[in-house]
Amino acid sequence: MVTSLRLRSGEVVDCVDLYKQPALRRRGMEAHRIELRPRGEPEEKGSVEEKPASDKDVDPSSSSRQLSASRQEYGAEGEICPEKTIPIRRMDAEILRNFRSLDDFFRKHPPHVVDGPTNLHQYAHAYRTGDNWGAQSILNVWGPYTERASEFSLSQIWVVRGSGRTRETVEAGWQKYRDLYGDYRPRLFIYFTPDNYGSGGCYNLTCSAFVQVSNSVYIGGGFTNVSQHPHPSTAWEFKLRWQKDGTEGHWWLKYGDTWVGYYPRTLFDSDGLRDMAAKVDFGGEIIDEQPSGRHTRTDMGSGHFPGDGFGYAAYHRQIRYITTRNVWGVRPSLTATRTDADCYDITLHNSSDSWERYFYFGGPGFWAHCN
Amino acid sequence: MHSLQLHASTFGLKPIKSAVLAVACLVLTPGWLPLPFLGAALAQTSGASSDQRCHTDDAQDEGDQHPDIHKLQQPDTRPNCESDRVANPRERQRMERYFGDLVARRMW
Repeated sequence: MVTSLRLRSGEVVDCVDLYKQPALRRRGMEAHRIELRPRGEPEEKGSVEEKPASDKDVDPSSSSRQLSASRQEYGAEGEICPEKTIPIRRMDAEILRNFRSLDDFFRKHPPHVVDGPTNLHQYAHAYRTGDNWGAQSILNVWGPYTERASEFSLSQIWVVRGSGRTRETVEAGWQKYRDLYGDYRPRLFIYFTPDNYGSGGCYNLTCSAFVQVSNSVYIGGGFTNVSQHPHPSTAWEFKLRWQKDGTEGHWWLKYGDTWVGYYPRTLFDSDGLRDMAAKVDFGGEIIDEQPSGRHTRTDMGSGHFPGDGFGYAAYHRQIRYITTRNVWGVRPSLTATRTDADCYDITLHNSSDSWERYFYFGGPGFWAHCN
Repeated sequence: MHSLQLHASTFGLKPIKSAVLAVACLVLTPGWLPLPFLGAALAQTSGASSDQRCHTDDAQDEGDQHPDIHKLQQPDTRPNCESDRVANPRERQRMERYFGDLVARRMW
């Protein structure tokens, strides 16, 4: 036995032997050899710049002191799982009570029957279509209001390939989702689907898919700080990256400067993510269960519209993708889209400084023009 | 405070702002506005709060953001909980067994 930790939030984290973790028990993984890091970084040299910024385009943060790296509650007081173990949340019965079945638990959002078929996913996001080996951005963390426990609000990166029922994705970001986590704090999350959001995928480490190698990052864990109004304020943010480790390699997750682990390429189909991705996507998503027949009041991002700008609105900045030659694509051309601009919106920007390609997104949900 | 937040949510407002508005409403509104309806909503939601699955977001709202939004006031007609989220006992057992096995002690 190694150990388990009880975090200040009350949740229990088991420290599981790296070489006995659940993902290694999945069928087809019997002979898998754990890799501890990908073979390399994407190259800066020869990077592709699709949308050059002019000198007039500058960063919206006036000084670097306004930006701070988010920290997880896990490890904030010094105690983390020992080397060669990984942190896995111990599931408690209270959370399971929020789901009708295991299949429901594994879905990105289960199909509750509430006032009719109203499980509406709403988005404000920006994407780039084209073969790639991954994506990266810096996200600021907020604690958006969620009207219902069964509604979530998130900010994330999607990496996608495939179509119809065989669409496959790997996803990561922060998410507030009371039913899944048992509280109202934003948490670092990952998700994947091999079947277009059926019950074949799952969040975090709940279905023996993601191979974790780091003991210092707690997937599914909450943050110690979230961004707050009013401006000027500190933006608490973190950098995330999905990176395919070459055609034959796995889908690696990098959080800040730490390689967290990977989805093995064997989870995916050759028409899907096995060799590459076909789209990178960034932005926000909420669930609108239309309580009482009107639009939800659940916030996206910070709850502010993008026009409110730095200090108020949620953002993704330094948005990049990785070409299939393993070179950075910087300041990419992006297509912004939203389900309903009166509810949640997105505005694209370009900076010649460190923000590079970025956007603000979000909104408050229900109001006079969103009902 | 908690029941007030539930009540505020019932009126379609976020908790902190709603509390302020509710007090202002009591003080300032003329008698013809539907105050009895406030009481009915309170009664309804205080019942809902005893169910652990009937919860609202008790995170602090921003008191001064969006002064012009969230001003439509429509009462909810039902508590914020869903009976369809309850698994049958067999499925519950299956879930508990699954997560019990996922991180079994032999893996520590």
